[in-house]
Amino acid sequence: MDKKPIISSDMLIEQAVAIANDGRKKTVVVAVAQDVDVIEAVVEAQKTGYLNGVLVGDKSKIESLADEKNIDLKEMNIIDEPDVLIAANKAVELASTKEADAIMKGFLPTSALLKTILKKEYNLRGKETLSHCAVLDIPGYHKLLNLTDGGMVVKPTKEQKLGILENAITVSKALNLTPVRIAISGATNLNSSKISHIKDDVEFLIPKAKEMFPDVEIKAPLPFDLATSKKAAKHRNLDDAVSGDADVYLVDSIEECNLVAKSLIQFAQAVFAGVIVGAKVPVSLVSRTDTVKNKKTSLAIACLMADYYDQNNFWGN
Amino acid sequence: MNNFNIPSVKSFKDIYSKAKDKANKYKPKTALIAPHGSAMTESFVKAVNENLIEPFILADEKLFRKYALNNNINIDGYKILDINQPDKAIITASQMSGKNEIDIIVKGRVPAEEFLNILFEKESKFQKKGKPVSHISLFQPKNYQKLLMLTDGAVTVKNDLKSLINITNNAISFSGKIGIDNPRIAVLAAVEVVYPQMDSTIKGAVLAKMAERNQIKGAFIDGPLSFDVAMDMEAAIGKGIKNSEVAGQADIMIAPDIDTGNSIYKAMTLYGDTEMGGIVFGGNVPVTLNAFVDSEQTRFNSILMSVLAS
Repeated sequence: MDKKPIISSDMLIEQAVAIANDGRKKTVVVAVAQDVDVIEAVVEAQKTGYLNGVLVGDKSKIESLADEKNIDLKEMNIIDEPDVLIAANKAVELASTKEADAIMKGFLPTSALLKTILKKEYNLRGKETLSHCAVLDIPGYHKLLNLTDGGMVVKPTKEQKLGILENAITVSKALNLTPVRIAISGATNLNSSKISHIKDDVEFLIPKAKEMFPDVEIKAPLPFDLATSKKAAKHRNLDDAVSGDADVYLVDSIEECNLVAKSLIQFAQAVFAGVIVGAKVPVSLVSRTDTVKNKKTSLAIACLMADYYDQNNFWGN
Repeated sequence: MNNFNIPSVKSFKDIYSKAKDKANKYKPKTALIAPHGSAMTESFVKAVNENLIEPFILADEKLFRKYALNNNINIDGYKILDINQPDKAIITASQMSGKNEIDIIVKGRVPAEEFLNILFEKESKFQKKGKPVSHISLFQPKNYQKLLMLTDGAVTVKNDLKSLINITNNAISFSGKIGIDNPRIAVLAAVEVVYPQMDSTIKGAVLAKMAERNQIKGAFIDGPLSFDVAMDMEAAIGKGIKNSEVAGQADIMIAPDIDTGNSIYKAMTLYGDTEMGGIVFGGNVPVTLNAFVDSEQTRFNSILMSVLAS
């Protein structure tokens, strides 16, 4: 299988299918699966052929939810566990024993699922920082843009920001991107700005990143237009390896990430794939308002991440 | 749950007719800074030709005359002040605006950050004492049935409660100028509930309460609201937000900080299916402040916004 860079949401799904066809089909376990949107996404993805789903949850509820929406569960592996907490633990245990490659959040709060995943006995904590990557396919942009972190760390310290960056790089590697081009946000591209995080970004984050991660190009501060528009970058005489060509847009707050991603989804028809990174298995979560396409691409990116971990023995033994 | 309320001014077409009506009574004296090679000049000339503004050029006179000749621009009736340094032109325009000799300032080819830095230097006397200045952008997204305002994406660096109150009051005041009274204001955050560890959610709730107690007047305010809950009635209903005059039908979005405001603004400029425009509001006079990536339509819309704000 070739290692071409993944630059669109369609390619994400195609790549997940190619991995499955190569004999490495991933198993995704749903924790507390009595959630109709999640059931629909997993059934669809399994039909497309890039994963095997395992639904852990209240079987009778799962069946009646599926029935209401005419979703066919014949091919689906269901483990009946009506208790929410026990179901979550059973699902996580499957990932811990490597019977599942990725976890998908069902009908329980994200925080409850993460707490379960991070229990010592499951040995699934990979990195100190867990973060959320929103990988966006924006019509008009020539590649995918990974906006992070819009879901986990509220206001990162500079060390946490480095952890978020590391996780984003891992996602980029799973997408076969080389080098990984990273833009760090700022409302201005002047280093002298009064915006407080810019100093840390320039003096701490960039030198650290260059020292720790091979094969990355990184620049700060870059406003969104200079990060993602070659035309705008050229106008400002920026001819570096990042400006106008960013793979990752690392922002400074959960608000910025969340609101920018949602504005692009709402008003620019962007397709969105989200994944939580930093645990030894990728964690997929979708919301009720996501389209089926968003949900399917989210599951595809989780499969790609899981495959990247496997192929590179990423977490050791 | 309320119906989706649409104000009488709901598109840039409406903004255009209002600006036209206003200019028929008095054409605002409009200063263009650093016109050479700026895409802004084209929109400026269009506004002059449509009798919306009275043109003042603050630039190297010889160069400008040559530029006009080369680009076939009829500059009869243009007042030209021969100033060859853009920074001096900004200061002069700003000082003139303090003496009512200029009603609008238009930025040409100067990077926005530099432009603003000079504008806010003491010498420029652009800011009246105690009067906050903020950046306001206006959108007309294809899949939204009315105009949508966003602030602040370019000027207000601080995001403490005081600054957000100032930004909000400026937005209400500008909203009145374009003919939208009692606007529905969403104070944006990542979620629509208050989390003690998320500062933006606390500020959103405080602003909402201040409006309820009439400490902020002339608007419906709700917060914290996430993006989709603010703009999408179905999402608002889905999230169980009841008794809100704002959720699902915001006229104005207050961004939690300048980074967020700037990124949304730039993302919409580059990729949004929307018409838009943007100005700096609250100083002596309105200033149109556009990015290079803006379309010609955006630049023209920004002039229209300035005419109404002047």
